Amino acid sequence: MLSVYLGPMEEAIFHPPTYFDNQYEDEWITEKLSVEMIKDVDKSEVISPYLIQSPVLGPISVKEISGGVKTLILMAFDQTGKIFNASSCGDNCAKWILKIAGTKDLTINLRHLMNFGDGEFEMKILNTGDIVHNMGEFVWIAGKFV
Amino acid sequence: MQQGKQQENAFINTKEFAVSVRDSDNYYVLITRENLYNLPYSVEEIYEIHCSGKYHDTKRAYQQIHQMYSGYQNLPAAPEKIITEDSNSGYEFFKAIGSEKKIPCENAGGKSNLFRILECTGEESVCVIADGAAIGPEMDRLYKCALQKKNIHLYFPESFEWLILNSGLIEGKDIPMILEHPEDYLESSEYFSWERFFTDLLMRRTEDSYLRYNKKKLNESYLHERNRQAILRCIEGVKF
Repeated sequence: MLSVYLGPMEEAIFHPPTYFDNQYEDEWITEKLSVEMIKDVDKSEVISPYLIQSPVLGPISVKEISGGVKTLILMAFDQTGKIFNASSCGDNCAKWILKIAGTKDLTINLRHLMNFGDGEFEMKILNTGDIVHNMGEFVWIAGKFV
Repeated sequence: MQQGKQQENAFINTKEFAVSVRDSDNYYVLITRENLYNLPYSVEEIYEIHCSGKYHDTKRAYQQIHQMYSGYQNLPAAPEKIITEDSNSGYEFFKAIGSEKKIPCENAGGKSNLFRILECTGEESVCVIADGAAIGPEMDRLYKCALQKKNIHLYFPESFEWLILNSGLIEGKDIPMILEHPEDYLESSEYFSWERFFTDLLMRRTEDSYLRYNKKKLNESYLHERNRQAILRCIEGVKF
């Protein structure tokens, strides 16, 4: 289940990429989900827990993957219960946020109107308690907070 | 150091940063996904970064035809209701137009109220008229509203003053050039927004004429038939 807190949130990790650089575990990188997300979002191949092949940058370290995919990996694998600012992610990460929330209870902080696509989903807006099922419903509530 | 790095760009949404920007003569490129409600930026100054293979470029985030931003492509739009940003001269002008055409016109009392008002609109065709020069922070949620409800049309000329300047009513051979490239005619430390620049320009150019402009109260000369039609002719995306 995806729960979203909209707008400024003091307890959220405002810049997840920095948190990732200091906290990630090597085994997260070779998990099937991470490999898929890195392939889809960054168009890059995971060679090993220490090496990524990017079509733009060439061979890079894990710390050079995009901020969006770092945030996604944290959402998927971080076990500390921390809430991450999903505005570090572009719209290209939205479907992965929904997918991760399909496998576990995920709470995120969002400070912009992310586009979750044309499909149906289930999302609880923590600011109001509403549950929304598509972008039409999401926009009218989220627009009041971001 | 880690705490400092985690703050990253959190400051750009603060009033303190907006004051610093206002008091400087710099141009700023701000890269963020958040709306910056403390800064007045134009809808035309919002760009997206696009990636194509190895290459990245920027393009304007919001596509418009005749300064209309709408999910409804069949222009011109014929509104059954007009909502203006505020109650200044622009509102008085469009209220007079609406009164003649029997189209109700209301003002939102500020651009930050537009979203709330649109939430309450029904199925009638609604045209929101606001100053594009400063509507930037509101644009994301207003545009996504317009995509969800096809009866909502957003008409965002730079400002009402820009419309008047563009109408040909104001004498000055240099005016078209100024409107085309305003950045060449102003010092950025003097004006916090394009809206203020165009207002000041219009007031200066009309102060000794019968078209003397006042932002708070519309000079009735602008409602005379010839002048009114000159302004309306510039509005291509809306049919009143």
